[in-house]
Amino acid sequence: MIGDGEADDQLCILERKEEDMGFDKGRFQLQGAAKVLSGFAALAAAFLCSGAGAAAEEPAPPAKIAMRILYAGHPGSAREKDFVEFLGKHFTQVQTGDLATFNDKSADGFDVAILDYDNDGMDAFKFPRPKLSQNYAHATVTVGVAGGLIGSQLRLKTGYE
Amino acid sequence: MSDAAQFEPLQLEHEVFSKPFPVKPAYEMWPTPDNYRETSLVGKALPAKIKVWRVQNTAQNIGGVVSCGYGYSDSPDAEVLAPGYNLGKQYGDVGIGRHASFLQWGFSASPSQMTDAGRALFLNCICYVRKFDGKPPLIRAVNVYASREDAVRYALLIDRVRDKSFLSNIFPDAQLTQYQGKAEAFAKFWQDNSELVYRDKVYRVDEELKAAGIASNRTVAALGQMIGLLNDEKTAEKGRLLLKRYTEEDFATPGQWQAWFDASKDRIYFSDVGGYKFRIAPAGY
Repeated sequence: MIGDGEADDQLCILERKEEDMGFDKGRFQLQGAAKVLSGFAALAAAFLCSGAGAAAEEPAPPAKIAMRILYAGHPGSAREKDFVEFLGKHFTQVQTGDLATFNDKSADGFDVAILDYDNDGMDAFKFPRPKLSQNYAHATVTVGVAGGLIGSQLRLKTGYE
Repeated sequence: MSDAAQFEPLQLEHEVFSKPFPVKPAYEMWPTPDNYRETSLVGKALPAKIKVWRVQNTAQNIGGVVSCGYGYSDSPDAEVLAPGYNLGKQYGDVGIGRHASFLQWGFSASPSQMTDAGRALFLNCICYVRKFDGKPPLIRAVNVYASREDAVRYALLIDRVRDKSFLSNIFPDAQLTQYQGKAEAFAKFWQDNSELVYRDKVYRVDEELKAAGIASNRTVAALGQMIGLLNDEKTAEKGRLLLKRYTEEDFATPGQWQAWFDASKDRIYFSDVGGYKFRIAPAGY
């Protein structure tokens, strides 16, 4: 039987882990930078003592990621709009498609396909099931119940339970 | 209440929690769901509250977990990235998981309803799965509900399932009679024999393996022992039976079996949901 004391232990482990993954990690990054610049010690020291050095402890958010994303969902839905707006802030190319007509070739030319569906007012088990063969191996994110049903159809471990 | 993922310390070290966006979960302690206790012996031992973090804010009781956790990681092409907190499935069932080039994000919300940590993790998952483009699954699930852990789960249901034909398709009839009214003892039987469980229409404990002095049916060492049985006339027949049960190969001589084993033993894995078979992962996988 696991008691409350063990839950407290988990909290302590987490706190230690957060320290490891937070401040210390930033420090390692600075150490790494200093090593790379070892031939330019004076320049490196000046950089690390400057405001730019302090800013490096808080890594800047990545700029747009150079990836081509296909979001195949429910065309015209608010959910599609929400996803596309969000993805567009982070990836250089985002296009939409229809989950109902998605097939083995639909993701050609994209880095990742996202398969999703708007479930507002709809029986989740009536979501469209794209016709995918077992040869389909594009990098794909399947979302929610619609995604789980696709996993089941393809006999994947990600299938709906 | 299904808006959360369970806290798993080791999984925070996975790159999806840091690349390219740092994921900073905000932890909360939530009540351990009753269904966790009802469906596993591990669940029965959980504390009153467990640590979770919110992935989304839908305020719904459903929508956070999709896939079965048992057997998920028994092939090298699949991994659990985050178990989900759920009120209707089992402890350890999967909120976010990957099988080959498919990454299942089990949470239901669109981005505007995700938390900051949820959005960062979603973006990281998109970047992560790109690495697996073009890699088909090594196995397809013969039955995703057929892992040896599922035997324990089903055993706990022995006195609760009204349709007895359901259980007759899962366990030998003699056992269903023997353990009627003794759900925990039945579950313990399957847990205690976990290393010897296989499926032949229903769950069975491998008595042939046990009699041969082999302690497990899923370790690489056990496969080597099964092949070793072929070298003695007294045990060769049993060796052939076990190798037919647990592999998809059919070599004519012990030497051929040994050569196959020696050439691939670093890449051998055993999958329950893939049909209780040893298989070989491609080189470099």
